Amino acid sequence: MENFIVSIKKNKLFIFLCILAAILISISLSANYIAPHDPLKTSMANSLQGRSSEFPLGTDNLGRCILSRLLYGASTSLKMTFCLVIIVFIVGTSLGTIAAYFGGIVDTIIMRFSDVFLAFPGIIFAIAIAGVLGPSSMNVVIALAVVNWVKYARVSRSLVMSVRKKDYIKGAKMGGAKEYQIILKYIVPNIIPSLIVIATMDIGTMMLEISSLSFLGLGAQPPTPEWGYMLNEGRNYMQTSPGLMVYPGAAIFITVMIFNLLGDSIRDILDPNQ
Amino acid sequence: MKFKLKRKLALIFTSVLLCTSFSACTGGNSADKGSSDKQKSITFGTNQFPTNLDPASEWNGWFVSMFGAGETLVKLNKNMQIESLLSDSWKRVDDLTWKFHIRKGVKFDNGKAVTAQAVKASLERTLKMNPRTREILLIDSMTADGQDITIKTKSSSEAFLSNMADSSAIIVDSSAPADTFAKAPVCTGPFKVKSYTPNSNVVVEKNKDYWGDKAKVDKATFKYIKDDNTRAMALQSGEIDVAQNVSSNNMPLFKDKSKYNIDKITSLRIIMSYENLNNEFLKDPAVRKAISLAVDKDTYAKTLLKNSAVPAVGPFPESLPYGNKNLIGYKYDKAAAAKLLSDAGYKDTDGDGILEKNGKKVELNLAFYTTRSELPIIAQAIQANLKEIGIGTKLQSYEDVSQVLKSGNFDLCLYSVNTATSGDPQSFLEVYFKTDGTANYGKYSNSKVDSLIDKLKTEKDTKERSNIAIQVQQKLLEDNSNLFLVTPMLNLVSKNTVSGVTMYPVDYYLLNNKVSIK
Repeated sequence: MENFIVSIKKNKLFIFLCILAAILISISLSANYIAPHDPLKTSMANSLQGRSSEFPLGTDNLGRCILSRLLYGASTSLKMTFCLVIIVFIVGTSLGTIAAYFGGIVDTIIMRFSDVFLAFPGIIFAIAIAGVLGPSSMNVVIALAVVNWVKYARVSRSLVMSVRKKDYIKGAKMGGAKEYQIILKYIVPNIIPSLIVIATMDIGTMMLEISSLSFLGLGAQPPTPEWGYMLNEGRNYMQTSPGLMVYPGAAIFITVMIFNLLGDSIRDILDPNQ
Repeated sequence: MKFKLKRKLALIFTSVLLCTSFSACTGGNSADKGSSDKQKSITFGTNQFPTNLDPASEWNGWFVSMFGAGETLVKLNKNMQIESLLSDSWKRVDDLTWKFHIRKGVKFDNGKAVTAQAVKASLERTLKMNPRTREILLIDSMTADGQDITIKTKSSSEAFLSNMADSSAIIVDSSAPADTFAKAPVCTGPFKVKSYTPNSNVVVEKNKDYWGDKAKVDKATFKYIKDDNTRAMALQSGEIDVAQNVSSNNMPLFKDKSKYNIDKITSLRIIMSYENLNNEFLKDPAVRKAISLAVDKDTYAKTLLKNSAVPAVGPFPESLPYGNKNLIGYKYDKAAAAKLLSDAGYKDTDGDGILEKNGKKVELNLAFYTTRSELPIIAQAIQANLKEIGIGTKLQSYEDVSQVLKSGNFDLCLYSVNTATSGDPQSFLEVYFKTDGTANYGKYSNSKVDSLIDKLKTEKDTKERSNIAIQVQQKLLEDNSNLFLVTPMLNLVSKNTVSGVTMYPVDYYLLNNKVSIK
């Protein structure tokens, strides 16, 4: 543990990225205090205005303040992303752990099931599911969760396999620990750091996937401010008012980059061998 | 001495080399020029595309006409008046009987002569396949004699002649093998279909045996570029020579008059919203009226669509004698709309901004399709406007709404439709507003409207016909049968090397024998 804190202190980049991520999250939480306008309020007379003191990033085609929509969009996008990551993390890890710990028929069923999901190209499968479920934010999260849990299941399974035969597990068994105690007390704490690295690195990817489904019109529905959907709306004005595309695009880019770098540096800290 | 000889030799050698290479160059050039003289080709970027090329199926005839391949007996000119095409003269024998003389020397592009018998067979085929054509033409029987075809209608119809110009009545060689219609129908136009690739492109080539002036280009390609931005960019990059319906937001890109020609025309279209009268809220006339009052069409047309549309009152555009200017419609009045709803007992009890009645939230689905760029913009604007009076709307975007409409699975549905395909009000009113009209998907029904529309079948006086059409529209407005929004402008943007491409009020004419390219 001490080593851990020391390596965090050494890693200035990690601290810097943590601050950036914290800023992002606090922006998304406080959007309704800092946004200059109501993100849903249309004033058609102000359609497609340039930057001004009233509208710092201009307005979209219905005269809504782009900056306010971006800020509120941060909360929609991040909420969806974290929801998704938490769902796939919990579902994937528990299924993987169960499969590896109990082995045999349970393992076969879970892993063959995950093979089926792996057989399809991820995003296309997600589009198909979201298409069947109908367009909404919730359904996009479900669709992506269905596709993405497999990775966590496989990784956690191989990690559990490697610790299952360790002496301290045997020791615990001999000591009379129950199975759920062994899993929760001895196995999960040993595999969780690697999975957290994967999860952090996944935040960026998941956000991109959510945005791309929203861009296709399957995710957040108008007039909800969401970055992917804003990008889609702005597409029609790509040449005449490029800001409509550039700002949400930049927001996605920056957020994805921050979380990817954060994942990288967490990996460096937790897993110095790599 | 030896040295000099060497120099001379070198000189001769190089000059010979140079000469041959020059001649090779010029030779190459002339060959290039020769081929471009021979093959003049033009490429169109279109925003809609047929599901197949059989003129008789659904609306596909419109495309066959647009592609310069199909021709009808008569056509509509720029002023919506009837002109001769395959038929060079016609007369009305009595109320129910019309006699057309088919132009002599007209041949299908497979070389067969177009006789009255062939015209009859073609029309019979269309009537069998297309319910819409059946409905507008009401043909009872046909007799063919040499070059004369006599058509008897079921009831006296004043709009018959202009309905014959509708592209579903394109004359095809119905004796052609059955599998050719969908891919390359045998027609009579200045161009013939060379290839059809679904969802991609259609290539037509000059019909060398065309009965009229031969086409000025040898080959034309129609590329299906559904996305507005892609189409605009294709025109900027030179991939296409003419772009159909450039969206309002991309218009500023083509301002340069030395490079592009813009042809604009107020269409005969109406962008309206169906209102499903089976919906529990839309059943209530007060709700429908409130919706009509709450939509700010002037702003839609002027600001959101940047003057690429004009606000509508009723279905028919101002340019028609029975159009908008004769009607009394609704002016945007948010407060009046809100009052109407609260008087009718709608209240927002839970404070979420959406009204309720009998414990149910007033929430409507608004379906629209994306192939017409105005619709997504208008859909969002309606959503914003209705929110202001406490009606929640959920937008549902589709590639194509025809199935949604047929299934009745919608509350509001945006639709862009040509109101006067033949310059006459009768068929549109019949199909869209009569109780059992085939496109009356909102299930509007008013016996007075029905009887007025029936009157159109027999009324001969043009003025009186306009009058009836105006009365019908006024009734529709009073009942708020549909939500009439804006009349879009149509445009064609072409490179300045292209000439002869003009727009017609009806949108099924595009390529013809006058179009040329430098």
